[in-house]
Amino acid sequence: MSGRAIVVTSGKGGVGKTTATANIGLGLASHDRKVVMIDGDIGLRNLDLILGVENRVVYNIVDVVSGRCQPRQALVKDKRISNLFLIPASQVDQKDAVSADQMRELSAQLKEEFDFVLIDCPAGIEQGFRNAVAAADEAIIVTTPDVSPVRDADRVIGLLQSSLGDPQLIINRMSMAMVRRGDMLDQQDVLDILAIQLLGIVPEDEAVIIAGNKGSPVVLNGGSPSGKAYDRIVRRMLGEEIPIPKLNGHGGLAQRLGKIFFGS
Amino acid sequence: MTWEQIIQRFLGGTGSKTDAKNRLLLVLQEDRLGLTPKKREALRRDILAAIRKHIDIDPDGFNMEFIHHSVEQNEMRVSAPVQVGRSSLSVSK
Repeated sequence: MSGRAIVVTSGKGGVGKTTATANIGLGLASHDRKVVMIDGDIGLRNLDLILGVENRVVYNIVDVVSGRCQPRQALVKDKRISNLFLIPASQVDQKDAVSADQMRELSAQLKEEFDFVLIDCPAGIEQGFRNAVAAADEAIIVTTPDVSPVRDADRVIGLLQSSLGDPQLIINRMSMAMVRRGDMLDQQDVLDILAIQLLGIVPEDEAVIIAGNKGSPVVLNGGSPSGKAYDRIVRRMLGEEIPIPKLNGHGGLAQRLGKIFFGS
Repeated sequence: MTWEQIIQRFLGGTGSKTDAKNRLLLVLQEDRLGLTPKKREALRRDILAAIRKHIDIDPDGFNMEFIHHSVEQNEMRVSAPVQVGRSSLSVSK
């Protein structure tokens, strides 16, 4: 078996990479795929916390690549879904404790056994980023519709061009109300600027904060708008054709009123 | 102001996304071209000097800008006002 190794990256920090990785991983696993997530953010371990498995971390990725344990021993098994695993980051080591070659080798090993290897990339474009990208065959870029994350996403897309195929985009924290008022870039604006394929849009949603508090990602809570958005993203990754709901200014209230009053 | 902007104001917005998009497109063109402010100024100086070697233009009216049409199509435009008057060439008798 050879699984798909996908890096979740953004350039800018704080846009929701780890949240996206957790939700996509859980989502894929709940669709019966065997999934392993790697926390690539060495020194700033967080994916375990978002997933709610922080109490069961024994070994980490640095232990694996330095031979202190077998990869199998470092796998933290999810309590909710039996076919979901995590290799946590180390909280005490430096970013250069792992090399790109070691990441590539680990990913190749895991792909033998798993359908999906999801790599949560650290922010920035330094060694940690290069390691995470080296381990992947595909990339998902996460951005929010704000000027600096979009600029940084563009930089990352440029850097990935030579090594990975066409990356796919998730626009996170989109506020319908702000888009309607013309105070937030809509999906078409972001696509005009970045010119890559859109994988999905996740609306701004308080449920994400609550999910983080509880260590229970939104995709497990089918009722929340963000949870539904992640489920659609996961199904698109599995090849289902699910149209992306229009969440932009065009066709929004402003334009509808304009049509009524001005007929254009 | 377009009707869409008027309605956006009415809805309590400022339509600031247009600023965001225009500013991003500009800064990304420079990022993608690897055009640092220093390089940009050097380019501007060289083009201006090249034109002034042949015709007399006012350096203050000289403008160089990048215009985004689409991802594949971008344009660099230089413009300068040119005074076209009849030259008073003396004709030898």
